[in-house]
Amino acid sequence: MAGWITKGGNGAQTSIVDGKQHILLMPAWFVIGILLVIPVLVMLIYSFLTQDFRGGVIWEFTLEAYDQFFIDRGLFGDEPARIEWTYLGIFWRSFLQALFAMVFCFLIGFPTAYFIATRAPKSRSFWLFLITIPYWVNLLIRTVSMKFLIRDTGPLNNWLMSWGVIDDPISMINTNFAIQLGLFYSYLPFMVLPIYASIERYNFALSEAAADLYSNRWTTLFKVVIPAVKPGIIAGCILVFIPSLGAFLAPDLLGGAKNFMIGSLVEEQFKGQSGDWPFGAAVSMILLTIIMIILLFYARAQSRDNNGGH
Amino acid sequence: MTDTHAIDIVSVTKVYPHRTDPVVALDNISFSIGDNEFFTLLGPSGCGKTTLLRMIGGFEDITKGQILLFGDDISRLQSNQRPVNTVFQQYALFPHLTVYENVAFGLKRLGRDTDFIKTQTHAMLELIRMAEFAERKPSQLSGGQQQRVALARALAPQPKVLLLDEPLSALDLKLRQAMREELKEIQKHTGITFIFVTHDQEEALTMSDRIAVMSNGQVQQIGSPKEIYDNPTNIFVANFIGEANILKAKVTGPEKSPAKASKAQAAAKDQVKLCVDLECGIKGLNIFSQSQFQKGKQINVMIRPERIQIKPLTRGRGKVNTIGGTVKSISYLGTDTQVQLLLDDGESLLARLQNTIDATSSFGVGNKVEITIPEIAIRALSE
Amino acid sequence: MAKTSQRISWYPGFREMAWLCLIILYAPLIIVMVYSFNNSPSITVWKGFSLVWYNEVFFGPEAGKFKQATVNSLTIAILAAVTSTVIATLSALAMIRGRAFRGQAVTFGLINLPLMVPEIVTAVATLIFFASIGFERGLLSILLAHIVFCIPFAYLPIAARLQGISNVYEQAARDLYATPGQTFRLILFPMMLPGILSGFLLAFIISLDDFIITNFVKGAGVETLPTAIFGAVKQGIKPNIMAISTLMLAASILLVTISYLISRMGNNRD
Repeated sequence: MAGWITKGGNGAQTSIVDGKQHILLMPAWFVIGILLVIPVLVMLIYSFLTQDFRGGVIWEFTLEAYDQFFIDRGLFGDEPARIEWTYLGIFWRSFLQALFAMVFCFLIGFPTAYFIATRAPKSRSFWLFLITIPYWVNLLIRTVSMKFLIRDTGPLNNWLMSWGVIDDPISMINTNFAIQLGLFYSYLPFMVLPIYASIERYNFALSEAAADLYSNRWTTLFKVVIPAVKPGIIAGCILVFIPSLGAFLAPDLLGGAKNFMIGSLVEEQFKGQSGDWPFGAAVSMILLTIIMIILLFYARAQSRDNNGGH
Repeated sequence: MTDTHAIDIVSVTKVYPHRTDPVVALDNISFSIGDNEFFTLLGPSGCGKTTLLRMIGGFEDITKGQILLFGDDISRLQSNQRPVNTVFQQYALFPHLTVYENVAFGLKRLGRDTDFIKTQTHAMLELIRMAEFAERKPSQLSGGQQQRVALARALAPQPKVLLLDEPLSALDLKLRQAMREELKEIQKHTGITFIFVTHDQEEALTMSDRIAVMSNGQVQQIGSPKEIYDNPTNIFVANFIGEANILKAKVTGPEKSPAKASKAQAAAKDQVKLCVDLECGIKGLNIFSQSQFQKGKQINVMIRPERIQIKPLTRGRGKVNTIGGTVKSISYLGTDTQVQLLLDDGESLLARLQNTIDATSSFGVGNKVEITIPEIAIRALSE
Repeated sequence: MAKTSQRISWYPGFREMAWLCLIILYAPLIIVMVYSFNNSPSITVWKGFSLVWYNEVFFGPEAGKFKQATVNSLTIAILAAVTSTVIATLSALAMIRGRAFRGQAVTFGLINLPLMVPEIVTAVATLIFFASIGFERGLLSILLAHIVFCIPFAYLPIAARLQGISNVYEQAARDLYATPGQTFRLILFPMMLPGILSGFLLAFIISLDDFIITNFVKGAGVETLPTAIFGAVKQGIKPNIMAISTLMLAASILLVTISYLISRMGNNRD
C-alpha cells in the first residue's frame, strides 16, 4: 500500500482525512521545523564560528571550537599538538557514569519488573501506578530531595549516627556515587516499564519446559527468560543511558563542582557573559552525534529483529 | 423508461493494486436489482460480496465500471451524497449518543425540520419495538437490541436502497431466526429495496426474493431461491446451496421422445433438454440443462439427495433409471435420515429420506439396495 | 499468565528488590514531605509538627518571587499544553486515519524528534537560535520552546486512543449524510476526548516540570517555579524549599491521578 497519494480517487473515501493529511500536519511541521530543526542547524553553524569575548559570537568561520575540544596546544596555543584529554575525559567519565547508572537500574529494575509481571492483574496495575508516580514529580524536586537526604548533615547520616552505625557522617554528597544515585533515581522507571512490558508478553510455559528438562531456576533465568525479553531490556537500557549521558541536574546538584559531566560542561559555556558559545555548541553537537549514532544502531537492530528474526 | 431498476451494476471491476501481486476482488460484474426487492449477495468469505456492497454504499473506490441508482450514476458520489444507508456488521452505533440520538442522526444531518425528525424517529422506534429504550446508551443494550437500533437508524432517513452487511452473524440461532422474520416484514412494510450480504445459505433461501451467488469476484448465478436450488448452473452453486450429488455423464444428443413430455416436465425458462448416459450405468436419461452441449461431450450432472429413492433389492430386471448399490452408513437427523450409498461402480451417493414413516426399516447398513434416480430431478451443470 | 507454578517462575530476592525499588523511589520524597512540617529552623533535627514553613512560602519574604514564578509556570503550562494538544490532535488525525501518504515516516520521526534529542542539546540550540535572530528572551521564548517538546507528549495518548477507535463509526456517520466536519465534531472528537484530555494533562505536567530548557531560554529576570527553586537551592536548602517541593509533589500526584481516572473512564465508556 506504500506509495499511494490520495489526490483524485474516485469519489468514494474511507476516511474523512484523506487528501487533507498535509494540511493537518502543517502546524507540526512548522513548529518543530522552526523551533527545533532549524535551531539545531544554527547550533551546528555556531560551532564553526569564533568566540566573541564580550559574549556571543563573531561571524568568522573557524574550527577553533572543535580544535579546543580535541587538541591541546598548551597554555598559550603554541606548543605542538597533543590530544586534549580534559574534555574527552569528561565525555569518557560521563559515558561511564551513564553506563553505571544503566547497570544499576538494570540490577534493581529487572527483578522489580519480573516481580510485578508475575503478580495478579489487579495487583500489577497498582504496582505500575506506584512505580510511575515518582516520575511525574518534577525531576528537580526529586534530585533536591535526594540531595537533602544524603548530605553530610542530612537525615540519612543523622540516622546512621544516631543508630551508632557510624561515628562521623559519610560524605556521600559531591561524589561520583551521589551522581550515580541521582541518575539511578531519575531514570529507574524507564528501565522497569519496558522490561515489564516484555516479561508480560513472555510465555511462562517456556520456563516450565526448561525445568522439565532439568534446568535450575537460575540457568532458566539466564538461558531462557533473559534472551526472550531481550527487546525490553535493550529498550530500558537505552532509555536510561541516553538521558543519563546528557544529564545536568544530577551531576550539578549532587556531584558538585569537581565532578563535571557533559551537561555541566555545556551549561557553563552559556552562563553569563563569559561563556564560549561556539565551544558549547561544538560540545552539544558532539553529544548529539553520539546519541544519534546509538539510536541509529538501535533502530537498525530493531528492524533486523522484525524482518529477519523469529 | 418504464421499469427503472433500483440498482444497476455495470461492468464493475475492483482491483487492489500491489507491486507484484494485485488482487482482483470483483471481475467485470454486471447485473440489476429491482425496486422493492429483497436481494441477497451470497457466497463464501473473500468472494467479493462485501466489497460490492461497500461500493454501492460509497466506501470503496470503483476501479472500472459504474453503479446506477434508479438510473442515476452514483459511482463518483461520496457516501454522504448517496441516498443509500447501511446496516453495518458490527452495528457501529455511536457509543456516546442515546438510542434516540442514534436513530435521529441521519435526519438531523439532512437538515429535516424538527417536527418531522421527532415523528419519524419515534415511528422508527415503534417499528423496531424499542420506544421505551430511547434514552439508553448502546452499551446498555443486548446484541439483538443493538441490531434493531442499527436497522432503525439506517431506515429513518428513508433511503432509496438499504444495504445490510451480514447483520445477523453475531446473533445466536434462535434470535437470528426471529430477526429473519422481522427483517422480511419490515422490508415488505417499507417497500425499500434491501440488499443483503450473507455467507449463510439457509438465511439467503428463507429471506430473499432473488439471490446472487458469488465466488472469486464473479457472479455464478442469479435467481430466486427455488431457481437456484432446483437449477444450479455449475458445481459451485450446486454445492454451495444445499447438498448435491455430482455425477459424470456423456451427452448422447438432444432429448429423445419429446412427445411424451408431461406438464410436469415442461422445461423451465431458458432450459433445454438433453439425452445423457450416466457413467454409473443408467442410460438414456432426458434431463434439463441450461446450456446446449454437443453430442459426445462429457458433462457433470447433479441430483439433490432428497430426490433419490431407495428400495431394498428385489427381483426383476430393467427397472427404469435404477442402479444397484450398498448402504454404507445411516445417520438419523431428526427430520430426515441421511444415507450414504456406495454404487456398484464405486461412486458415492448421498441420499436423504424424510422420516414420515419408518423409511429405513426396510434396509440396514451393508444391505444391497435399488437406487432410483428420477429423470426430472437431474440437472446438467455447465461446468 | 499470572497463575504460574510458584516453584518455576519464582526467584528468591526478587520480591525484596521490588520493595527496595519502591523504597528508594519514595524515601527521599517522603522524607522531604515529613521534614517540611518540621517545627524548627534547623532542617536536620525534628522538633515537632508545624506549618510554619508553608506559612513562609506563602507569606514570607520570598513569597512574592515564588508566587510570580508559579503564575509564570502555570500560564506557560496552560498555553503550551493547549497549543501542543491542538497541534498533536491534528497530527494524530493525519498520521493515523487515512491512507499512507508521502512523507509519513519522516513526519513520524519529526513528531518524536523532541524526545530523541537530549534536553541539554535542545536547550542550547534554542538559546542560540533565539540569540541569532535577535529574539528577546522572556516568557514568550519559554512558551515557544515548551510547545515544541510538549507536542510528542500530547501526541502519544491521543494517537493511542485514536488507534483504538474503529473507523466504522466514521463510515456510519458518512453513510448518514454527515460532512467530514460534522463527522469529526459529532462523532470522532467526542470519542477521542479521553485521549485528548490525557494528552493535555501530560503536556501540562511536562511543561510545568521543565527545568533545563527553561533555564537556558528564559533570559534574566524571568523565573518559573523550577528555575526559582533551583536558584534557591544553589544558595543552600532551606526549609521553605521543602515546603514548596511537597506542594509540587502533591500537585503532580493529583494531576497524574486525574489523568489515570480519565483514561479509565474512557475505557469504560465504550
